[in-house]
Amino acid sequence: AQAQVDRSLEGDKKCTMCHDENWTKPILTIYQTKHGVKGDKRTPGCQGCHGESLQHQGDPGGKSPEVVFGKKSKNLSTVATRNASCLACHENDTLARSHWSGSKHETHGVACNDCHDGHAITQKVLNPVTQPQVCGSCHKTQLAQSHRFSRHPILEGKVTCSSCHNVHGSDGNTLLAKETVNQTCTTCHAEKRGPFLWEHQPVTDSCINCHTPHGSNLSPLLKVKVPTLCQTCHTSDHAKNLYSGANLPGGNVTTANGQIPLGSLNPPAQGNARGCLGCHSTIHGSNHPAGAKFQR
Amino acid sequence: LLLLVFFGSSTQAYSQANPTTAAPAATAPTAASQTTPGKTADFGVGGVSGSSYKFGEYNGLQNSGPFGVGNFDFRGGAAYDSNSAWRWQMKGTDLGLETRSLYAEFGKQGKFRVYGSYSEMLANRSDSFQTPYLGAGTNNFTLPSTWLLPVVAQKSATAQNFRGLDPIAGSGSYYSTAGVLTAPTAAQLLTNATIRAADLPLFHNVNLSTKRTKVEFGMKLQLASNVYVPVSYSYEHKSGLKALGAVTSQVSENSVILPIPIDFDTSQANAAVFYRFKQLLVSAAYYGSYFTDNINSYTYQDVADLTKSATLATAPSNQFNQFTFTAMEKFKHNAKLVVSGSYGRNTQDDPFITAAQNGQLAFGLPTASLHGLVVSSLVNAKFTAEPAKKWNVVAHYRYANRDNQTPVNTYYFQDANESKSGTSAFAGLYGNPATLGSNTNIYANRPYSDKTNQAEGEAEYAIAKKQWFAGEYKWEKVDRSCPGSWIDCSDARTTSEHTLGASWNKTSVAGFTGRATYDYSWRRGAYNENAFLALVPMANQVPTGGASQSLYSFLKSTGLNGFGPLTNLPGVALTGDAAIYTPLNNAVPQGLYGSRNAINELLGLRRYTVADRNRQKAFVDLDWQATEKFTLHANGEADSNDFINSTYGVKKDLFWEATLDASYTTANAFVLDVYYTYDHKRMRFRGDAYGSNSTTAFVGQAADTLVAGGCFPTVATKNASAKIDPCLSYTKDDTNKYDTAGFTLSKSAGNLQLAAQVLYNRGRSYTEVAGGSYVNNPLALAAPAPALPAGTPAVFYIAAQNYPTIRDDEFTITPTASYVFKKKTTLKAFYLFQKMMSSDWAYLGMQYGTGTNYLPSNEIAPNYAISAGGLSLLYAF
Repeated sequence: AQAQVDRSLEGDKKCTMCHDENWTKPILTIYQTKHGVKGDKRTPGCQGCHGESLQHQGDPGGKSPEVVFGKKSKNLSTVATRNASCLACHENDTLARSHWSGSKHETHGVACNDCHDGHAITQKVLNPVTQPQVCGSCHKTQLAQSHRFSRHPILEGKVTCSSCHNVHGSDGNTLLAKETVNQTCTTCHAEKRGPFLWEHQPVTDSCINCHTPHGSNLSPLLKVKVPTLCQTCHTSDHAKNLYSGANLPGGNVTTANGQIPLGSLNPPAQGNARGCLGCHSTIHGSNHPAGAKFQR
Repeated sequence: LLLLVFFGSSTQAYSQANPTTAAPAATAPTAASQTTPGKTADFGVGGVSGSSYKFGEYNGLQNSGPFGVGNFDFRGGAAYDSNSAWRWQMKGTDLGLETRSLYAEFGKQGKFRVYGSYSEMLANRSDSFQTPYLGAGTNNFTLPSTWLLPVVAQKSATAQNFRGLDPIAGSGSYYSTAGVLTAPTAAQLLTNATIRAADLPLFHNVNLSTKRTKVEFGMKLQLASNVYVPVSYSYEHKSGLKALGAVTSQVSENSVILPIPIDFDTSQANAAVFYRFKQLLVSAAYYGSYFTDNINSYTYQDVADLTKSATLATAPSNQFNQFTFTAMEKFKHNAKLVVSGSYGRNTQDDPFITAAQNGQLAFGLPTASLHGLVVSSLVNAKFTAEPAKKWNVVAHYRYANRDNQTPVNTYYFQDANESKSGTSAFAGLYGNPATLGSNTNIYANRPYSDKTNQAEGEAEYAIAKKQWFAGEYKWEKVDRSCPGSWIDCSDARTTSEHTLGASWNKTSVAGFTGRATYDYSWRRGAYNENAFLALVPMANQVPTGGASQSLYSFLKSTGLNGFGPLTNLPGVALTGDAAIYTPLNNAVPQGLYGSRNAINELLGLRRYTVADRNRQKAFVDLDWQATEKFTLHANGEADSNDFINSTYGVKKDLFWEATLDASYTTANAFVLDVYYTYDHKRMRFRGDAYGSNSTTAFVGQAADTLVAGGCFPTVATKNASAKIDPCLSYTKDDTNKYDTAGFTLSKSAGNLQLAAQVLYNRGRSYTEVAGGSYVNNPLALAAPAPALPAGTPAVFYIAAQNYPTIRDDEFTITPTASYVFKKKTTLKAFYLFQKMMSSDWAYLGMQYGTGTNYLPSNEIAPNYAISAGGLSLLYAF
C-alpha cells in the first residue's frame, strides 16, 4: 500500500482541505517537522502514515482512515498496524531500528505514537526536560523515584531516561544504551571505570549491586544504608561487629543495670556518621599500592 | 537585566507545564503560523527567597536574590512547500547561568546535518561542611600550627579524643583506676577548654559543589540513499570540591573528611557507517572514551600527629576504545535476524604512588604502574518471526565477556600510618624481604573477570482479538575468575539461573488495556568460602613457627575455611597444624597468611550477588479509558528474592509498589491528573559478632565472674563458647518506604493559560536490629581497684537498638501562567515553592562531641522552605 500513496503536497491536499489550520488539534504543524519537508523526497505525506484511505475520502464522517493514531479514538488502529506504518520507513532505511523487533517495548505492545507525536513541532519525548513525563506515563514508579532525596538531575533535563536507556532496543539488558550497566554508568562516571590495582568485585560486577539509579532516600543513590550495606557481604574483623542505634546521637541510650551508660561515651565510628566510608573511602577501587583495603 | 540574564539562575526545569520555548497560543491559528518554522525569545527576571544548596542542588537556585530568565528557540530554512530541504535551528536555555545550554544545527535534510552544543551541569553537595584543614582547592592539606591534639584530659591526657571538642561531651565524669566515678578536676577542664579555644576557631566553612562543562560537535551524512555516516566528538571538564574520608591511623581508626578537589577531563568520540543492500543492513561503529584526572594524589597531615602525613591516590586516568558491528536481514513471514557484536579495550597505566610519597611502601613496588587492560567482547543474536497467523516468536542469545588481563603482582605495605612491628612468618622466605613485620600486608591484586551466556525464547499467541498470551524461558550462566591469580578468587566460579515466565496482554478493547506477567527464577552455584585466599599468596606457603604445611593445604585437608571449626574450646588440647592454624578452635590467625587484618568470612556466609536464590516477579498494569474525558490507570509490581542457602548474609529481599493515576480532560481547555505511588523495599540479613574461644574466667579480678543476661551465666562459660555464642548472632531488617502523591492541572481560557503542579514526596528508611553485645562492667577493674561487690555482674549483655529513622519530606508547588496580550507576545509568570524536612542520624554523628576517633565536619541535614518566582516576556517572530 505504501507504493500507491501520494506523498506530494497535492496528495496531502486531499486531507488538508478538511484537516486544516482550524482542526481541533494542530495538524499542519507537521510541515515544521522533518516529516513535512517536501524538499526531502523520503518524507511520507499524510497517506504515507495514515494509508491511502479511499473510503475515508469518500465518506469522511462514516469511515475512518486506514491507520488511526488518535489514542482516544474508537477507531484506534492496532499497535501492529500503527507501528508497521512507522517501520515501513524506519526499518527499511539506513537508520533502521534494528533492535526494535523482540525488544521489551515491542513485545509489551508499545506503539511508536505512544511516545512520539509526529505532528508536534517540539516533541515532549525529545525535550530533555519533558521526556521523563512521557516515559513516566507508563513507568510511574521510576518517575516517582526521580523525586527522591538522592537522585540524578533528571527533573532538570541534565540526565534523561534516554541517557541510559535506548527505548528502541539495544545490545544491553533492560534496554540499556550501552552493553552493560557499568559501561552505561561510566559514560558519565569515567573515573570509576578503572581498571584499578585493587578492584572491589561488586563494583566491577555491576554498579546497581549497591546503587539504585532512579532515586533513593539514602545518599548517594544507595539501596541500603552504610554500615548495613557493607555488612551484607563483609563479616570479618570489625565488619562482623554488631552496629546498631544504641547510644548513637539521636538514638536510644542503652544502659546496663539501668545506671551505667555503657558505650554511650564512644559510639563506634563504623556505625556512626559516614560509617565504613569514613575510612574505606576509595570503595570503587584504589590504584594506591597500599590501597587494598580501599583506604588509600 | 542583561547582567541578571547572564549571572542569574535556572528556571526552565520548573516551567515544564508551560515550556518557555513553546510558541505562544495565537488567538486565531493560521496556516502560515502552523507551517512556517518560528522563532521565540523569552527574557525576564525572577528572585529566590532563601539560600540552600539542596534547593539549588541541580537547578542553580542555591542563592537568595534576583536572577535572570533567558531562553530562545530560533528555527528557519526553506519553506515546507519548496524544493529545498535546508533547515536550521539555534536554541538556548537558562542563558549565561550555571545550568545553561546552547544548541545549533543546520543541514540539508536527506543529505547532511551539522550540529554543536554547549552545556553546564551543577551539583551542589554541601553548604555546611567545616574543616580545620588549610588548602581546600589544592591537593595538599595542612593543619594550622596552632592546632592542638583534642583530648578528654580526665580520660587520658595524651590519647586523641575528638569528643573533647564539645564542652559538654568533653566534661563528663570518668571511672578512675580505683573504679570510682570521678568528676574532672579544674585543671583537666582547663586543659580541655584550652584545646577547644585553640581548635574550634580553626574550623571554617568550605562549600562543596562540582560543575560539568561540556562541548559537543557532530555531523550526520547521508552519503547515498543506502549509506549513512554519523560522527560526533564531545569534551567535558568537571571541577569543584567533594568530601572524601581519609584514615590517618589504622591502629585507632582515626579518620578525617577532606574537601578534595575534582579536576577531570573526559573526551568521547563516536563514528559509524550504516550500509543497506536490499533487505540487508550492516553497520560498523567506533566509540572512544578518554578520561584524564589532572590530580595525581592528595596529601594531608595527620590530625593526631602533625609530624606525620599520608597520601591518597586519585582516580587513575583511563581509556576505553570499542568497535561494534551490527547486521540485520529480513526474511519472509516478517522474520528478522539481527546479529551484533563488539570488541573493546579498557586500559589504565597511571604511575603508582611511590615509597617516597608514602611511608607505607617501605618495601618498594614490583612495578611502577599497573599496565591495566580489560578486554570486553560481546556477541548478540536475535531472531524474531511470525511463523503463522496469531503467532509471534523471539529467540535471543547473548555472550558478554569482561576479560581482565591486568598482570598480577605481590605488594608489600603497612596499614595506614602504622609502623612495622614484629617479624613476619614469611620474612626472608619465598622471595620476600627479610625485614617484613608481623603486621606487614603481603597482598596480590585480583583482576576480576566475568563471562555471561544468556539464551532466551519467547512465544506469543493471540487468544482473541487484541488479546495475547506469551510464555518465556530464559537461561543465564555467569563465570567469574581472576586470570593470573594463584587460586580461584570468585565466591562462586559459576552461577546458572533459569527463568520461566508467562504474560497476558490485552490492548485497547472497549478502552481497556491490561497486562499481567509472572516470572519464576532459580539461581544456583557452587560457593567457594576460601576465595579470600586469592588476596594473600602466602596462604600457599609454609610459615615459620612449626607448621608442616601451608594454610591452603591445611584447609583443603580438613575441609575448613578461614573461620575454622564451628565449635567451642577443645576438650583436649589441639596439637600439630590444628594448634597452629586453629588455636583453641578459633579462626586462622591472619599473620599465618600475611595479612594485618582477619579477612576470612563467617562459615555459611553467602554474598547475595552470587548466592543461591529463588525469585518471583509479578507485574499488573491496567488502563481504562472510561470516556473520552476520563482515564484511570493502575499498576502493581512485586519482586521477591529468597536466598535459600545463606546462613549469613542477605536472607530475603522484597520489593513491591502500587500506583494509581486518574486523569480528566476536556478538550484542551482543562486537564487534571491526580496520582499516588507507594514503594516498599525490605532487605533482611543475618550476621554474627562471634568472639574467640578462651579460658579467661574473669574480668578485672578473680572474683568478678558473673555475666548478666546473654546466653551464659559466667565469664568462663561465655568465653569457652565465644565463637558459637548464639547471643552474638544478630539480624538487621532494612526497610525503605516511599509515598509520592500529587496532581497536575492546566486550564486554557482564551489568551490565558494556567498550569500547576503539586507534589508531596515522603521517604522513610528504617534499620531494625535484633541481637546484642557483651560489655564489661567499667567497675570491674584490676587491683588496686576493689573487687566488685558479691553478686555484681562483671559483664552485661546489652540489647541492640534500632537505628533512628531516616526521613525526608518534600512538598513542591509550581503554578505557572501565560497570557497572550498581543498576537506575537506572551507574558509568562512562574512560581516555585518547596519545603524540605530532612532527618538523618548520619548528620547528627558529624557534629562536635559525637565521635571519639573521627574529625567532625558539622554538616547538617537540609531543611528549608524556599520560594522562587519570576516574570518573562516571550516574543514570537
